[in-house]
Amino acid sequence: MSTANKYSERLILVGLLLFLLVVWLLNISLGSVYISFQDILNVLFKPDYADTTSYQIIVEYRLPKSITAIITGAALSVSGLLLQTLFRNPMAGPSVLGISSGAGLGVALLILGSQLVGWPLLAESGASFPIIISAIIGAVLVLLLIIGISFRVKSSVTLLIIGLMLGALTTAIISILTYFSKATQLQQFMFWSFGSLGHLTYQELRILGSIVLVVLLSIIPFLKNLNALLLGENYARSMGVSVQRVKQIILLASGILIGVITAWTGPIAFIGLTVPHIARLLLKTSNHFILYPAIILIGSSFLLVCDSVSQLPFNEMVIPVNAITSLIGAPLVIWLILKKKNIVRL
Amino acid sequence: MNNSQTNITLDKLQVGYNMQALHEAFSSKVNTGEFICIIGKNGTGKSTLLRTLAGIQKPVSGQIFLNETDMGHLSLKKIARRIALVLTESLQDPYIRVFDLIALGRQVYTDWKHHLSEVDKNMIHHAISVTQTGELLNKEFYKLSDGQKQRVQLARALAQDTANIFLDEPTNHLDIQYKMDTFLLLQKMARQNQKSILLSTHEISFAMQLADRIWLFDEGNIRDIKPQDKETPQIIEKIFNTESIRFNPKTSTFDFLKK
Repeated sequence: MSTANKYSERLILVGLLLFLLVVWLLNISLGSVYISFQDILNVLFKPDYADTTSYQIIVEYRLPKSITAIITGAALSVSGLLLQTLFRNPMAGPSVLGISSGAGLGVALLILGSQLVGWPLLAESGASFPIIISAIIGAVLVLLLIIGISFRVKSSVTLLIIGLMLGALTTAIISILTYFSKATQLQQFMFWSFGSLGHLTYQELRILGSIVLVVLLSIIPFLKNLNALLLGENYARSMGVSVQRVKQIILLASGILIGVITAWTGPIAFIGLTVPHIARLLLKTSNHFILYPAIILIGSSFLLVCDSVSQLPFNEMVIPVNAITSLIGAPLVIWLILKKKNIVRL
Repeated sequence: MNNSQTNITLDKLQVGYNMQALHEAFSSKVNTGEFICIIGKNGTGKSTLLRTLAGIQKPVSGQIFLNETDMGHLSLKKIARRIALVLTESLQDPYIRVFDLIALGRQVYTDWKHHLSEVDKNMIHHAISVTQTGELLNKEFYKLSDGQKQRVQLARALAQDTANIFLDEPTNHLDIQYKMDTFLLLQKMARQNQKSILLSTHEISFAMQLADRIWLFDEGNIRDIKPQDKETPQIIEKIFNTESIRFNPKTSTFDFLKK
């Protein structure tokens, strides 16, 4: 039925893909130094441009940063969608439920805690293997805690308040840790917690990209079940969905996505919460077969735009990207709540 | 209907929560094409019984057999091909459209892309025509009236193409016209399409007039009675009569007592 509907949905998806490409090019061309589209294309496709400064800026700095933005935006947005469907709660998201804070606590315990016990294993910068593992463990632990609580309380408001409290708790523990920390570790942790898309090497990008890609692909067979879950767990079960298994897979997938992303980029707020809503508003659907690709495209574009803004084009200054996503995301969420009351029937 | 088959067998079944049974052991059968109403006061366990029989909750003790197979050994998918369920849970999602909701009934038959085959489409259109939901297909579900929502959920259950359909208080929140329509539609589905319909309800008079059998929660016991049995009115009087209302066996309604 409604082939017209499907047609327009596909058209929007193609539009979103084009939008992503444009935003990507813009993101690469903007910055403290402006590089024209022509130059970008030359650098990317003509080998004899390898010695120019444009080449260095693009290949060594802007390109990896923009790829990081694309991967991060997609991964966080997908985790937001998964959590919103799982909890049947439009306000669910990695940062709101305290899952990002959990990842943060994992990293803080590692960076700041290890030196307290005289265990200086993490002097080098960047995301090392232990940081990634501790971020994933932190994220998954908070997720499990939230799940445990969500069995007892059904109200969305209560769940959100508990998420905020968990966030406050982890922040408190982090501040205690920072109080007793040495300056170098403290600085390392502070930079991490601002959220940053830069400083990932191609090697790290390959790892991050493969993990995210594998997780994103492994969710696809369950999209059908997610649609059934929109009706509630009992209905899903009555239609043959083994809800328990789907839940475990969704949780593991979101835990890994939020964990690895947060480990490398630091906590980046609001993307996971906001992007699914933008996608639903734009496509007027909650069908996961359409939302899923749309959210990947919108999430990537959203973070690329935020990153371009945080560069303050034609200026030397850079604002932490985490601040920009909040500055854009928070008002958007407020607007959504006021404008589309039926989105948030708490 | 005399040569009807047994779809579901309840063997010394007890349902409840946390291993606490809500009633004494109950044994009965659901036959093909039967229309059975579960009645009882609030909180006696009607919904719990329905959910347990649908396989989304475990029994406290006893067994349920689906066509002679112990339900405990069946996967959710196998159960979903035999039993469809309509619950009272509300649907929050503001975007889901009627057609997509009905098509979800085909979940258990479709591939991972939820691609609808000709068979799937035929079943969906059959369900739509039986429930007369054709005009609603492009509407958002949450915008429908309660009566329309119920018909759409019923269409989804029909599209699931199961021998049994269970419904938890399907006429809640409906006005008298919709209540009647729903009961008549369900009875028709039992008679004409040979579906076994099992539903919980507070509509005692409808149940008395339309059901083949009534499962009645009576102080910790479930009674398996027929509306036309001689002693049925007495049993209903015993449970539901109060100081101010009395069951009238002639009209199957409750009359207010004048003071």
